[in-house]
Amino acid sequence: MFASINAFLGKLFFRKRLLLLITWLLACHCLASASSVNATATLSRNRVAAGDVVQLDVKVTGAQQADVPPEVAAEGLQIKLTGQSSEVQMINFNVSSSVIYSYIVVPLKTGNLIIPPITVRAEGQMLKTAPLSLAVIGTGTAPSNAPSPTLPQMGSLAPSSGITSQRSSNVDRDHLGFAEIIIPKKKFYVGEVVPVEIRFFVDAHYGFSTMGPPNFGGEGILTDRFKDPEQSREEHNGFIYNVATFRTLFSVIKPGILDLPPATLDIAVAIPESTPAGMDADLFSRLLGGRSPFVREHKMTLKTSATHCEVMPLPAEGRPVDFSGAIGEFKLEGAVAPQKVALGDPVVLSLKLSGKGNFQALKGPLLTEAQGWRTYPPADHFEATDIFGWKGTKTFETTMIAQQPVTATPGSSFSYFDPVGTKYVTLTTKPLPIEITGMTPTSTPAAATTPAVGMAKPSAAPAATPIAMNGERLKGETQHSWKDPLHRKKWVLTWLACFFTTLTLIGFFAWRAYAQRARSPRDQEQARLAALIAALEQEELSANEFYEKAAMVAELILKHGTTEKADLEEILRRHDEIQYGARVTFLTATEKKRLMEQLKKQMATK
Amino acid sequence: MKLKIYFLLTLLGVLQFAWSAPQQTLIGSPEEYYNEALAEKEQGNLPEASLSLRRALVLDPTLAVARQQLKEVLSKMGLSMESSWQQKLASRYAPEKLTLMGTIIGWSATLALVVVFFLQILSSAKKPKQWGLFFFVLIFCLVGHAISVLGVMIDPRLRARYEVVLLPKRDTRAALEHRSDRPATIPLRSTPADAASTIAQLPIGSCLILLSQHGAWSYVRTAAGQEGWIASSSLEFLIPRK
Repeated sequence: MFASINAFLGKLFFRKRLLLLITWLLACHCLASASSVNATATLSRNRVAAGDVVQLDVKVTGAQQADVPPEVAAEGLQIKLTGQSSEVQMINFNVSSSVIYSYIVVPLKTGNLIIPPITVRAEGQMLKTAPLSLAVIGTGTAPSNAPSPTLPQMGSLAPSSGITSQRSSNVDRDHLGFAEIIIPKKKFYVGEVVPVEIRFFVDAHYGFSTMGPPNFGGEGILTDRFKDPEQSREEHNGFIYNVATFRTLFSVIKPGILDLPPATLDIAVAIPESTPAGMDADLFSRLLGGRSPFVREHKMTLKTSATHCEVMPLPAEGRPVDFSGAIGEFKLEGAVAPQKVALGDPVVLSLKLSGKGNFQALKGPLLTEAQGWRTYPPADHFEATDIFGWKGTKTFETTMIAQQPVTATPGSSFSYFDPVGTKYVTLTTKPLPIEITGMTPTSTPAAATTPAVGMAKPSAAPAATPIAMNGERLKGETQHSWKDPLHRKKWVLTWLACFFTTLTLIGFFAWRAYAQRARSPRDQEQARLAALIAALEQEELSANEFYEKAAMVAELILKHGTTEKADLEEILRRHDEIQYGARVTFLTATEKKRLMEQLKKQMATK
Repeated sequence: MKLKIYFLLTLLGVLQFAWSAPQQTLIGSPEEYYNEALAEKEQGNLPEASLSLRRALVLDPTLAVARQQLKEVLSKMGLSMESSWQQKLASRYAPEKLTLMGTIIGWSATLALVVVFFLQILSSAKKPKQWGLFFFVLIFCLVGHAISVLGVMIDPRLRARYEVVLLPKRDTRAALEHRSDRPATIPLRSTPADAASTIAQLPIGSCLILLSQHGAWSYVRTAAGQEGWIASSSLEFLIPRK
């Protein structure tokens, strides 16, 4: 017992010693750790393009908290504290804790810039980081980010990638965007339409929205309305840009050297703001679906460079009489529909001008050989085959009415100036064959002397309608209801009356038929008796048949009990003899007559 | 016999009631509308002229001169004239006359058919059944009613109840200031709102089918089958409303 107590106390002291040893070792380790507090500074990139930003991390090892400056002064750089994080590491039972302070570094100029040592106070010690070098290069040599396959929506203020969340508001605004104008030729004619493409580039790191259409044009310049911009993403000098491309057509109204003023576009760019200290930018970014939580709208105007053009006058030499200002390259086709009409019916002559040129200003082709036709101003419509509305087909549809017997439509003529061939060209179409039916000798002079044309077709005119010339007032008035028969009470009631009359008639006949076929049993017997008597009166009956039917009549008479059986005894007996006996019976006409009279007499007494 | 007299009196009573019913039908004169259209046309009011001509043709589809004028007016407006088999048939045969003729033939033959059926076909008398007569009358009966139905179907008034013409009111002030007093086209919108997207631009004078009307907006169908909303104030009923 004593020995066991000794052993227990011995173990207890051993454990206490072990615990003391561990505590001492930890204390020593902590002291050793406390004595190794240091601070290091690292840049996320040592080489950066002007306008881009870089992250600077100051790591203080061996401390859980440190005092760092909120801003670091450096020539050509703006360095601001954006946040902090901490980490604990255990390597071979060697536990170390550190705290990281993140700065955003915005280069303000190019060149090799130095980040000076940053003074850090931790665990009562003053520490300094090593100075760092940052190479800020111009726009031509900066490394580019890989272009994103998806283009951000125009007008969106959201940054297009995560990169922008690291950007500060102090971006280089000179490099946010630029614009260019593309004119296919610098030498053109007065009135000639020229397609123009204006491209506005905005740094792909920033979302932006346009503030209205581009401003383009000037005195003596006619422009179309801009089409909706095409959006794309392009790399330009190593930078990725969102590009908004506007297209339109313009023409100039006077010759000479033209200084085309710059095209401008007002935009609003979303500049990300730095996240305030103590706020988790990543968390906000995740909550906002990748958007930077803090953005500021920066309004700016993108402007193209001025362009010089030479505008030439149209040559006066060789100008056709029917030239109406069409400039371009065109083809002319004609068609008529219908090709067979009655006199006075309208036909439509379609003239299609296809090609490229100033379609909006085009006037229709002139009709030639139009004698005998009354024509109306043409209706036109244009179908563009390109995005500018420069190429396409313009159709002029002229409605015409033949005023006299004709066999062909008018022809047509169209003149334009070809700027490539620098000459005037005249296109023509030949008269198209057409068949006019229903021509009458009297209709021609009437149509020719009055403004109205054609005759009303006699076959189509009802007898009650006075046959009037097309265009003459009608005399006399007939009154018609606005309601169709189905909605007129009289018609509906008449129809219903006829319907119910028919139903009544059907009911009446059905009732009569029923009454004939389904009488009382007494009536049925009477009818049967009458039918039997009628059958007996037929001469072709044999003796057997006669007596059989006569017996049936006798039984029917006796059934009512008004006649004695003795009166009809002879008939019944003879019937039994024929039915059961082997004797052949004959019936003379006299005998038959006598028996019939007897039966009729009994029926009369019944 | 008493029963027969009773039915006869009932029939007479119904007919008398029908004819003595108060006159509520709106009456119009195709010639008057035609003359109105000519006057509008001379003044250059082509949409108004087209409406009057359409009305004249609704009242009397056989009025060939009105059809001719309407073709001409629509062509000048850049519109094509709707053409269906009903219109073609109605232009040749007056629908109301067809309906009346068909009704008379149809019902007369129906009554004759009943009589023939019961007296000739169902009769128990020992005489030959007159099937030939029966079928002859039956054909008359069917043809008569078919003509009547055809007359109703081709009657333009039946469809005109739901037809409207795009004809916005003129802006008098604009006309006085020598500006265009109304637009050449009216937008057909996807929803009943001014800001709604446009389905099509309908030229003035177009004939539309009115599907429903909800206050200031009407749901219509164009001849091309497009359906959408249009301002009710832009529409004029083909059948004038009192």
